[in-house]
Amino acid sequence: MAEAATQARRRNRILTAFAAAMPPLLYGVRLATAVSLALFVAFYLQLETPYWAGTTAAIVCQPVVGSTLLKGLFRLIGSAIGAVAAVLLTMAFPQERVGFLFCMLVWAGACSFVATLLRNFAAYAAMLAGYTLIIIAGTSIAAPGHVFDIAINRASEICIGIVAGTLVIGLTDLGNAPQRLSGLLAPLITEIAAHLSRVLTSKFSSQQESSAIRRALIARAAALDPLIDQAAGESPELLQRRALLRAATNGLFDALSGARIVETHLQNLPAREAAETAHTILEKLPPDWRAAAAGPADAIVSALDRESNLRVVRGLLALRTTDLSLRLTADGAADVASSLAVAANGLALLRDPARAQHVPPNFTFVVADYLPALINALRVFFGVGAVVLFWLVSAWPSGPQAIIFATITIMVFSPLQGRSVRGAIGQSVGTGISAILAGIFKFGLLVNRDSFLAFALVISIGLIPLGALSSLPLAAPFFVPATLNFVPMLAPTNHMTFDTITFLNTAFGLLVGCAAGGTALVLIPHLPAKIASQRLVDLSLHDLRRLAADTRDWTLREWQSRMYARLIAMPETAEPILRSYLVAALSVGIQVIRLKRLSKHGRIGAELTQVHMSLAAGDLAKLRQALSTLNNDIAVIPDKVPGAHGRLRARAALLAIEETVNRQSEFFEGRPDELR
Amino acid sequence: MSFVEINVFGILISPFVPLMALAFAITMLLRWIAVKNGWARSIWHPALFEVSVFVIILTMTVLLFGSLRIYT
Repeated sequence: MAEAATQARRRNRILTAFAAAMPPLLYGVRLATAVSLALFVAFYLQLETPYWAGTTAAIVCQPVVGSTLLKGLFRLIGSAIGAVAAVLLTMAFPQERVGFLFCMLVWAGACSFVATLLRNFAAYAAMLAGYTLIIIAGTSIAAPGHVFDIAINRASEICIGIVAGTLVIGLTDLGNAPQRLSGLLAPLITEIAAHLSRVLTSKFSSQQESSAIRRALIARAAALDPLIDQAAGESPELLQRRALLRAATNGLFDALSGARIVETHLQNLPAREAAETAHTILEKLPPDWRAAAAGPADAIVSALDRESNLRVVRGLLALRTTDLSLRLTADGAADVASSLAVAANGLALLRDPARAQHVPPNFTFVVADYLPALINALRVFFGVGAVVLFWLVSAWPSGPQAIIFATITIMVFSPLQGRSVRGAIGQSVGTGISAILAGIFKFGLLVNRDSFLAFALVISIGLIPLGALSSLPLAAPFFVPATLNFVPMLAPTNHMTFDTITFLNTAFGLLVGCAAGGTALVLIPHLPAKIASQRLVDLSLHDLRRLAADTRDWTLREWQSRMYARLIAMPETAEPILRSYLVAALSVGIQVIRLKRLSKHGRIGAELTQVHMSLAAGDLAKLRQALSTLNNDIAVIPDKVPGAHGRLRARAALLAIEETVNRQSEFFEGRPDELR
Repeated sequence: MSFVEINVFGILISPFVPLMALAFAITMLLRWIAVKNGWARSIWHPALFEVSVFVIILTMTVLLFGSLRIYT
């Protein structure tokens, strides 16, 4: 009996190990199929360097489906742009090596700059445009008269690889990015609703506890952004309506901003008045929101429904009061509910698209910070430039190979920011692994293989385990480059050549290119996360001051887009308080814009100039005085004068600004002590 | 039926290229209509369906242009 139990346990272990190994192995099989398909088409069309098709197919294949489909489209666009640019560059500099090489470096640097500015898969188009030109230029430099044919061949090979990879991965996997996004968005909505309830019922032991929870929610909301592109790549409806998903993420930030206003205000009130105000607001919330104050957040089912959230908003806005404190708290809670309604609309698109309401797309393009893009551009220019110089001085025959792979290494690993050096080291080690494997396969297994089927089976023996290992997180830094460099090292052609000297030169060229790229990533490092995050905070404060000083007239939507972009760009390792500063800037900016709107045509009967000027100057003492004076000026206007409702809202906005500024005065004065 | 290459400022382009571009544009239009009317929600495997539709439209386009003797 004991033996039977042991055997059963052994069987279970084997089955578990087999189940765990299946997904990576399946990925390896799909990778090998995509590469073989690309090589078959390239061989059939008798293209000069078919290995570029196989290499591109391997690059396009990713374990995440959605990213493959959209990525494939952007790669096609980028390849076409790079090919056209290569031809134009060659035409512009006939027989002028220095001008040609300089412009080639400028183009690569510019593409890296644009790739850093663009988000997610649009960035891949810029990246492809950059190194497609280098790939074509590397070949055409010896034969500029044939640049057009070379560009057509190279671009065709790359496009065949893109289509083969996209086809195989896209057709063999359904992907689950929409389900994953839904699984992350729903808990965020319920937790934010629960957070508001707990703020109203004073369930937090301290301000620090509440702030820590809110900052963690901000970071989780920012992390949804890349998943939106993946989900959009897997469903045509999500692709066409992804504005709803972006609005959902932005709604989460707005909801947290509203919750922060409510919390800050209640903390500034005397205990009794805070309890009475909170109780009045709690009465307007649904029963499950109230219950979640003491229970689990996932019990808030109504927050996941857009209509339910809108009913909460209507209830809060309909609250008739002349009490400034109650008005401010009600408006803050209404902001939370209306923002959660937007987020719930995005969730409905993922779960039941028929119920999702249309949202007009927002075409605002905001750059959080130009400096990281500039650094990446300079790294490409000088890093690749150094390899070009070395090639010119040494006349090394494998120089173009080294230039190509130095460019690919720098451009592909630069967006990884702080992990780029590790990625570059992995690239070098992985290239070494692929050089050894490619040598064994080429000279040991591929010799005397006449048919394509035999060739495909042999390279699959290498690609399947390499692909499987590249999908494992721990092994990925080494085996992703090993997988990508396997085919170019093998350099399969229609009639295979087995020249050891050529193989060694190619391998050496690739290795030197990867090492040079890694060196450039070390010598021209990224901005440290601390400095990058501080820059985002400083830029946001600068923008807020420009908004207050009227030097920039952003609409509410434009202002929100600006702050959302900076929240999303905040490094993962940034101090949580810095995200709080950005939410505070978002909140104050919203109040400033609302006040401007209310004060147009004298609707609130008072001048905002002093408030704006002292906010723009960062003079908090003057700002407090100006806020108090303005509040008194508005308060003395009798209610019977038309516009009483607007004046109360204006006073609520002034109070919200004052409380936010007092809570984070070190930020608004422009001297956040956190980083001193 | 045999197609001839298209001369664009001295560059000879395969007639298959504009036919593919046209078929792709038609496929994207049909996809937009399907999403607008909510038909796309009934599709089990969107990528497979779109590729199949593209191939069908491409075939029809080639046959149509051939029968109308355009690019031939």
